[in-house]
Amino acid sequence: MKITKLNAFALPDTTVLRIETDSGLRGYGECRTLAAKDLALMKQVAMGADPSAYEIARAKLAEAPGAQAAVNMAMLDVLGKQAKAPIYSLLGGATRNKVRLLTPLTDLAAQIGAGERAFVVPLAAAKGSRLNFVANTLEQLTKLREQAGEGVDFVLDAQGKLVPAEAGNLSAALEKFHLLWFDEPCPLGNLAAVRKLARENVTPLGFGRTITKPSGVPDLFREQAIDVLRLDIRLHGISQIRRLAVVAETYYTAVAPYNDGGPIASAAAIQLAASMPNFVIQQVGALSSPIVSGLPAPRDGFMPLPTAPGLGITVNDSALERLQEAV
Amino acid sequence: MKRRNFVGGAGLTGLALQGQAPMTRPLGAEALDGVGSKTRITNVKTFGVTYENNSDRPYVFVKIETNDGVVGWGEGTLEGKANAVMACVADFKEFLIGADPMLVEHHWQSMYVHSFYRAGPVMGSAISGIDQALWDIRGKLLGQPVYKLLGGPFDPAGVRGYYHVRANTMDEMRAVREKAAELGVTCVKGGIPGYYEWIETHAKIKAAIKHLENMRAGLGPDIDIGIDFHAKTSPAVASILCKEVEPLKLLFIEEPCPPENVAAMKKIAERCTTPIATGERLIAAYSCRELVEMGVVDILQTDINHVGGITALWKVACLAEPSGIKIAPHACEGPIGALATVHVDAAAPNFLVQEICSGVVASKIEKMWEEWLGFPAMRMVNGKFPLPTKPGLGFDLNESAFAKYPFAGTKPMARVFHQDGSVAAW
Repeated sequence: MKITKLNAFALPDTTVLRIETDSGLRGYGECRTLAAKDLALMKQVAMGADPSAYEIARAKLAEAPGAQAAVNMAMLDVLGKQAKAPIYSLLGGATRNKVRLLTPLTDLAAQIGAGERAFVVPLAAAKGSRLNFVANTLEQLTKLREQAGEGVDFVLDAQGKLVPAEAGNLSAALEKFHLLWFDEPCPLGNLAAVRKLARENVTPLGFGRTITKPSGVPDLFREQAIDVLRLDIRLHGISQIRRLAVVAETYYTAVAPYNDGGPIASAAAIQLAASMPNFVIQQVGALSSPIVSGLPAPRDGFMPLPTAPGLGITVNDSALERLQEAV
Repeated sequence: MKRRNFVGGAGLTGLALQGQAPMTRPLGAEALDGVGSKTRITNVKTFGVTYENNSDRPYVFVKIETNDGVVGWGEGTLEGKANAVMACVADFKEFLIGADPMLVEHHWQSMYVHSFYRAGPVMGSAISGIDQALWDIRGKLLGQPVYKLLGGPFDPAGVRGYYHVRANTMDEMRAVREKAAELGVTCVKGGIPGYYEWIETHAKIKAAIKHLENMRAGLGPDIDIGIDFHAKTSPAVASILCKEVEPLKLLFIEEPCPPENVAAMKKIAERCTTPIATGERLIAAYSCRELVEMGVVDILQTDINHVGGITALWKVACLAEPSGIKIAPHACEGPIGALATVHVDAAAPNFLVQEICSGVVASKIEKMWEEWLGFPAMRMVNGKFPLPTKPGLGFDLNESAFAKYPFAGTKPMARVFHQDGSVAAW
């Protein structure tokens, strides 16, 4: 089987990839918005390639993370369809029958009503004194827990914006709140500071969305700096995160891929989640769109595993083709 | 016991038994003739003992027979792998038949080094069973209990022990407290409920902390409490629990995370003042070195039935002592290994407390042990396991005792799963 055609479609903040093959099977992928040179490299690598050579494509696209991710998803999607099996069945089989979901907090009551049980809370911007900032954050979270009940969990997301000592202050104050974890509390670039933060208190730390290449991962573990590995599904794709999860596993570290993309990226992340023994929770946004349908609805905080072949979704090609092509 | 000639033997190259052809001897045995005893190992037997139909740990006992009638008993029970250990003991027969049983360190080295691949739990348990039996023989030939050969006992009244708490409600815990006080027991051990993912929910963490707080409240302030996490928690989850229960002043938290990654365990140890204990899954003293060196562990818990017998457990104590680390050996299998452990404990300056996986009230298993050995083995008196006084490991055992419990094969350990069907540790 050979890839005969490749189209990349530009959506706001994301790129959707479609590959076609001489078998007639199509595969889909999604990545962060692609630079023109990465798209060109992607075409050069993918055209004429056999979709089963997804590791070879991964190596050839190492310098173009997004392109690598999208091609990886699309190749695995085709392979799954050829085998009439979900991608997780190609990767060593399901390790679980459902996937715990994490969603950005928008409307707590409505979201709980829709079966969501774990939320990403963005850290509110600091106002006033340091003392008030810490107290206000704790108060905001405590109120959320009161409203949601004990069976609901939270991730606090600081988007890497705090100075390390500010992050330490806040995470120490949050120890007994039992966040699932504190996400990107400070810039990861200052690994020495992250290492210190990781030793000051016991609030678990999540990092990874800023990492673009596998070589950025080992130092996080060598320094025992993180508790949750959060590589972006739209920068790494399925098989690269699966491989880096193996490294995490040897450090007894959980994997919860970062994902602020659309339903194709979420579908890929769900396939990945099913395959990893050290997976804990998957961040997802909207699970369907005018282009994509077919992901199972969440129930009590979990998504049952999709069982359809490949990514397990249905793509509306005519709606897709109405989008502008990326160039 | 009759006097025997140990050093300066006949230098036999083959040992003639009555009416039998000269015995084959292990490779290299001749080199040590003249520096050992004239006693020779004539047979190595294994016994699989299924004392409970579904137990994951049918006992694996090793009996070593010698040409002067002295026999030694050892234990290599390995949970979920009974057949494999018995096969491994059989693989070592040619290291032993015709050998001098007094050369215990030499045989340990030969079994370990000449196996080339470093010992895992199966080989470690096989060596453990053989090593204990050799020490039993050694003590009997020298007319001394093993703890005296090791330089003890530090306390003639015995070694401090702990029982397991199998209580969930406050009433059950108060009952344990009363029974422990009545028996003079000064320490008990419990666990945490359920199974844990590598990042856990507020509800799960809160429930675990509440359980431990209830345990302290129910058992009262006057008893030491160890808590076994059983390596079912990740460093992330264990760190939260270990820190939050600091006010309970636990004697230790055991296996807060799996044992292979020492740096991961160090990160837990760095963030709490609760002492960290680990080691029951480790084989040979070599495997404990990094834990000591990196300042991770306060208490080592290697198991005499897996670590490599008396020789290896004693070495773990030696390794730990100059670093101020205590030993509190794991013992959750049969009575032979448990009694062998007591000998090492009694002679260890850095001994803390000895486990036995029994409750404050003896069950039918402990009664069965008494039936086999003729005394209430591993039952405390005034909070201590009494020391055997007879030579060797200190008991007489007739293999006919096991006829009632024929081996019914290996039984797997518990297999548990999270709510999404994924594999959980217990």
